Amino acid sequence: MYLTKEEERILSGEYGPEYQKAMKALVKLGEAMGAERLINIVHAHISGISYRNIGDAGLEFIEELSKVKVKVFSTCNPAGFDLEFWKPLNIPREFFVKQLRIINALSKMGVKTACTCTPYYVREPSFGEHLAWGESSAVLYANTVYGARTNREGGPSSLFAALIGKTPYMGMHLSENRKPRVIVDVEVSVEEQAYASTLGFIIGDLAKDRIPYVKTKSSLNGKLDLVKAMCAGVGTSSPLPMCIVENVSPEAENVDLSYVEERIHVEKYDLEKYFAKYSYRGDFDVVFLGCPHLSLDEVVSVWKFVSKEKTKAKYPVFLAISRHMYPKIPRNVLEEFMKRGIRVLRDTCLVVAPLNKMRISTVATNSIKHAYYLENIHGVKVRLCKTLECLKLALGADS
Amino acid sequence: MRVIRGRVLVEGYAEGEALVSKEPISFLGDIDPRTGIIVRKDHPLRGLSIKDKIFVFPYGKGSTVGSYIIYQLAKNNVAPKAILNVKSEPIIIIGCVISGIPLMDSFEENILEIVKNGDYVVVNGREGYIIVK
Repeated sequence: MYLTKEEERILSGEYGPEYQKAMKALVKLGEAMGAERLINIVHAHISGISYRNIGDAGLEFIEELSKVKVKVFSTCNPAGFDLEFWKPLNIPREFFVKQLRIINALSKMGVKTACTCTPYYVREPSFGEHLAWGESSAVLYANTVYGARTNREGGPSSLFAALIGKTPYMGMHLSENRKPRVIVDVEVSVEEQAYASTLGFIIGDLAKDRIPYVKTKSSLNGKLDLVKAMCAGVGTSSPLPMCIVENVSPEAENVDLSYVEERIHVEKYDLEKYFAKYSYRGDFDVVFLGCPHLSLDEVVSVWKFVSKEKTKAKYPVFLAISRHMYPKIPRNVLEEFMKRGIRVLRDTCLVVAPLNKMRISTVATNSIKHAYYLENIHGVKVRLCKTLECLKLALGADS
Repeated sequence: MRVIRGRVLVEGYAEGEALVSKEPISFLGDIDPRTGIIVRKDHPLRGLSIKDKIFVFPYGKGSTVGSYIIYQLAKNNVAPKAILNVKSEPIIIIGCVISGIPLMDSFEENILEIVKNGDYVVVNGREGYIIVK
């Protein structure tokens, strides 16, 4: 791989062992994938910062690098709890301390610790911009919706890229790799998040590692919250970093279909089949909305439902949102949510939280990504249901 | 005995028994980092451990935190001896880079069909071939 003189100096250790370690790993990654050189990035998003998921090994790994600063604007993924609201949720002391050590290490490096899986709400990417993002759903959203360019960086490589301000010039950074190889005809209209995320999961399952050109008969036009849910589903079932969605993706306009090798159809039956995998029936410890973290529009739609119903939630409801967006929710809305048993959590989500210690073993949610990881990482029983159904379950109205 | 050439992504040498997953793997969610056991509910190999195995699967999928799961497996001494993919992606590659686990992909033949569970496999991740015994 070609390195500039400055990059060579970093690699030789002239700027210290931390930068050297980062550069070594990026060069290895680039050489493995056949990158010719490194490319400057404008935003790194660092995944793998929850103590629940990276453990002591990950904590030490990040702390060892924390003597030096990141070179570009950097954000990070959700942590194991809301940094200002954790005591009532039975977060164990040791977990708390170790999670804070991770956050402090990142903060020392200059990372903006608005812990969220929606970095595009913190800083909107532009078309063609080079990024190095971890967090599969965000990578998909950046490539698919903005036409920005990022690979699916693993947690450590997103951190290395933040420290160097560069990433190997390969994969999604190159136009020739952004061409669809499969067309997906979506024959069913999806109207809310649970089905949009399930559609994404199916697309990922069938497209495998081939970028799909998704035709939805306009049902996703202008509905970015549904595209967001779809992206999260695709990220769960596949290694894909992007989709090209007709009438949504900037790159759909002049799309080159000459590499397409297969055409796939998704019918209502497929959606129902996948949906039915998460069909726990019973009481719930909690109802969760916010995977990926909610947009303001999504908070508003919860608010609309809540203001129509007069009841208090029979199961606790958690809405997850980024610390960056939280102040934009009107105070009276937050107060009313609280009165009804609805808690808005910042910085976190259930997947990265110590659920066994929090005594959560049954969850209703509108995200198939959440369902998949809750079940497999935490052994939680999950009911996947539509957004409104989740709220109806909790607020006790007839469903 | 069969020799199959492939691309070396992370150098190294290993030999051991193969564990072959026909399904793609999300290290986060599919593998327990403390034990190396496959835990995903609907995975055909659920309950088996990847510890000290030559772990063969088509490609990585799912969470970008997967790299740290690989790193934890190594720190906990329950990592596979080597990983062989049909096609690797950055999450698996960087996980193997920081953990020092030999990794190869892009073989001249379909390893998912040739390598069977329990086969003894030699991974020469220096010269770029594997031997299936």
